[in-house]
Amino acid sequence: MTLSNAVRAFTVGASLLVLVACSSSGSGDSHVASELLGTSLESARTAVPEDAALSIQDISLVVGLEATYREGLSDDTWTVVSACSSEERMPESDLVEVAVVPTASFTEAVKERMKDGEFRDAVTSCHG
Amino acid sequence: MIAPVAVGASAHADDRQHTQQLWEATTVTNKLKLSSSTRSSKPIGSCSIGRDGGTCTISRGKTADRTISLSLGLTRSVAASSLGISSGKSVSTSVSCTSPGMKKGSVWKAWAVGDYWKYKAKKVTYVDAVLVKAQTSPYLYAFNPSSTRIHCA
Repeated sequence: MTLSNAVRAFTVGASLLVLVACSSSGSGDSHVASELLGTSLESARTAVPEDAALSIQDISLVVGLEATYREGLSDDTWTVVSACSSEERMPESDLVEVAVVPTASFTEAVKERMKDGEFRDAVTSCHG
Repeated sequence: MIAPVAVGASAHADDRQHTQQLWEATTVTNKLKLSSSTRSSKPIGSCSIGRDGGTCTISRGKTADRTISLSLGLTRSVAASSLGISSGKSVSTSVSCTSPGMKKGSVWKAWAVGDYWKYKAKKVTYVDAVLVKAQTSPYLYAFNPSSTRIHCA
């Protein structure tokens, strides 16, 4: 094999590798923190990797209530309205942070505010 | 731990070959537990309050490092065994803490809490069962975080 053929073969091989890497990351929109929005804190916990740190912000004041969340209270009565992770996908993250409000106050109006991104900046710890 | 090391043969006046036996051992000495409530140097979790009046619960922290200083050939397993602690490099905490209601931008942090030791490494060298050298390191330190205690502020 001549040097130019070897270089060409290497270039083709490298291009194929890049294509494979891109296609796998392109389909990787699952397991991202935004998938937690609107789910119960109980469900969110199961989606967070076992070895990742988890912080929970109670932002009940945005729905006119006092913050009362305590660890050990039933997580199915809290709904996630904002979430972030230290890496793009949660399985690779060592930190996941969520903001929650009581499920009883997660009305359609609050859901719309969540969709509009009103609570997006409630979680700030994921990127240093 | 004693480790025999054969050194090169040396010729003697009587022309018989003799292989010297070198023995080296490094152990822990002068150990003292300085505290059982020392805080880790780095937080294992932190949370910046996102909304005025909000709280943050550090539900699970990052793992805390178990640090064991070494010197003079002292191994991590020998040091850990002597201190009565695990030689594993990290500890996962199983406790949580919740902040009071705080202003937006306030930071709530959690630190691991554990035992803090000081000790020295002592290395002895024997050649043919004769002590030829004894060395002692300066004080070394170890931190053994607890899995069930954290400090939050």
